[in-house]
Amino acid sequence: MNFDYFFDSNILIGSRLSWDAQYEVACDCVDKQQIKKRTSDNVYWESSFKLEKVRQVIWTFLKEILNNSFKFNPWNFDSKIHSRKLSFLKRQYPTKEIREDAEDILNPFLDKYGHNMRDSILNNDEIKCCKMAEDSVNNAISSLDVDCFAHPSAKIEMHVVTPQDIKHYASKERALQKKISDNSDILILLDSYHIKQTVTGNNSICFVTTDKEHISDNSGDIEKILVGVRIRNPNEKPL
Amino acid sequence: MLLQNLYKHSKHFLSNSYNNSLQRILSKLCPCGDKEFTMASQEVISEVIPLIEEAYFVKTDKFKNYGFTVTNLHKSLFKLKKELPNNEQIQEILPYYWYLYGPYSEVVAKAAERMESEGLLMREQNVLYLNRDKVTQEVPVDRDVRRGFNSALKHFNPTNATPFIERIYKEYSPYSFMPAFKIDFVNTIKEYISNLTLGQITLDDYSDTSVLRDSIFECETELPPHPLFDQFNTLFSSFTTDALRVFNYLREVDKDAILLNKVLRMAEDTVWTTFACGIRIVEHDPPYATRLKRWNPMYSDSLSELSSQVRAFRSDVLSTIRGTLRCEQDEKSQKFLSTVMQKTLSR
Repeated sequence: MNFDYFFDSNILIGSRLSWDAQYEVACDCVDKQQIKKRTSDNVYWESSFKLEKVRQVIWTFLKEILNNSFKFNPWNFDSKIHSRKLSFLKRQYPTKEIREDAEDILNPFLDKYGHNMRDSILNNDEIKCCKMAEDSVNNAISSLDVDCFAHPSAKIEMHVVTPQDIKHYASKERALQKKISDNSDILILLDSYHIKQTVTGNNSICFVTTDKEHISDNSGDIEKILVGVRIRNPNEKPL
Repeated sequence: MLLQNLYKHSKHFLSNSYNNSLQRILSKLCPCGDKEFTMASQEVISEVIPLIEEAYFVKTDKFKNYGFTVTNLHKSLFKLKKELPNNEQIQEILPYYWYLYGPYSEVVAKAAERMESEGLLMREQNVLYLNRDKVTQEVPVDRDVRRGFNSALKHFNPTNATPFIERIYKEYSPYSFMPAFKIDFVNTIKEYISNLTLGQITLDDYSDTSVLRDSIFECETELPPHPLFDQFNTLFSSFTTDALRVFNYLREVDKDAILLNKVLRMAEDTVWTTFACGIRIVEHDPPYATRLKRWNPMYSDSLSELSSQVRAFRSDVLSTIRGTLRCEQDEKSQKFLSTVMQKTLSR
C-alpha cells in the first residue's frame, strides 16, 4: 500500500531535542528515505511554540542558577539544584498546567546535562555550561524551519489548512469529539484527513504520533471515521 | 475627551506605521467617550487641580516657566503619590493604572483638560504651560505635598524628561520585563538604526549584533510570571525567535536594516500594545476595578491580533531570509546566552 507520512508535533519536537526520550525513534522516522513526509501549519506552530517554550524555560532557569552559582558547592550541589528548581517553577509558572509543562521540559534536560552543569559550575566555567545548553536549544529551533516549510522540496512539506477547510468535515469532527477529549488533537487529525482528501490522491496517510492517551489508544475508532488515515507509533512498521 | 485626544494623537503618530494594528486596537478603547470618566467626579478633580498647579512651582529657581507634556504630568503626579505612601488623601484622589505609556490616571487627565478649558493651562506644541497671569502665586498645599513634590521632581529636567520617565519605569514597573522591553530593547534598536542612518557605525560594529541579541534575551528571561500573560509569553517567545533571525541576517546580509525596522515597529505597535492591554488588568488602583468588564475582552482581542501579527511577521521574515537559513550549531552568532553571562560574570 502506498502511503505518505503525516507527523504529529511530538515527532517534530522529539526529533529535535537530543535529550527527549523520543529523540532516536523520532529521528529515524523523520530521516526515512523514499517516503513523502508531510505536516500541517497547525502542527508546525504547535511545535514551534513548544520549542520556544523549551528555550524560555531552560534559559530562565540557567540564568537563575548562574546568578546564584556562588551558593553551590560539591556537597550541596544536587540538593540545591533540586530545591532551586522547585522554587523556580513555583514562582515562575503559577498556573499548575503550565508549571507541569515547564517541569517536563526541565527534568529531561537536567537528566542529560545535569552532570555537565555540575562540573562547569563547580569549576567556575559557567560559560561552558551556557554554550552546551544554547547549542542544543538553538539547533532545535533552527532545524525546524530548515526542515519544514510550505514547498514540495522541503524535507517535511507543510500544508496550510484553514478553519474553512475543516468546516467540510463537520460530521467527522462531531464523531471524533465523542472519542477524543482534546480539541487540538481533533483539529490536527482533521488536518491530516484534509491532506489525504486534497493532496495525496490514492496514497493513504500514515499519521505518526507518540500520543498514546488521546490518539493511539483510539486508533481503531479514528481510522473508521477518517477513512484513509492510519495511526502509527514511530516504533511500529508503517503500514 | 482627553482619552479621545490621546487616541487622535496616537492615530496621527501611527499614520505612517508598518501596520495599523495599534490603530485597530485603540479604536476599540474609546467607544464610551466621556462616560468613561464617571469616577473622576468634579469634587476629586477640584482636589487634583491644586496639585497640578503646585507641580509648576517646584524648582522654579532652575527652570523658569517650564511646561509638562501630558505624559510627564501623569508621571510627575504618579511619582508624588509614590513619595507619599502614607498620605491617605493623595493615595485616594490619584488612582492610577499601568498602560501604554506607563502609569496613567484618568483623574489627572480630566483635571488637566478642565484646567486647559478654564485657561489655567495653555498648550503650546503638545506642552502644557501654567498661565501665570491667572495663577500668580503658589497654591496653598500642605507641607507634606510640597516636600513630596520637591523630592518627586528632584531629577526632572523639563528640557529632557526621558531619564525621568525611564527612572519611573525602572523603579516602579510591576514587572522587570517592562523596562527591559519598553526602555532597553526598544532604545537599543533605535540607537542601532540611528547610528546606521548617521553613518556612525563601522562594518565591524555593524556585524556585531550581540547588543541586540543580549537585549531581547533579557526580555525573554524576564517575562511576567502571571497566568494572565501565559499566552502573551508564548507569542513573545515566537517574536523573539524571529527577532533573533533578523539580527543574524542583519550582520550577514541586510545592510539597510529593513527587517530591523520591522522588528522595531512590531515591538512598539503590536507587542507592547498587547502587553499594555493586559498589564492594566492586573496593575490598577481599586477604583478602576469596574473597568475590568471592558478591559478583559479588549485584552483577548489584542492577543488575537498579536497572534496573527506574529504569524504574518514570521512569514515575512522567513520569506526574506529562507536562502540563508541553516542549523546554527557551530555559529558564533547564536551564542548570545554565553555572551550575556560572560558580561555578567566579568562585572
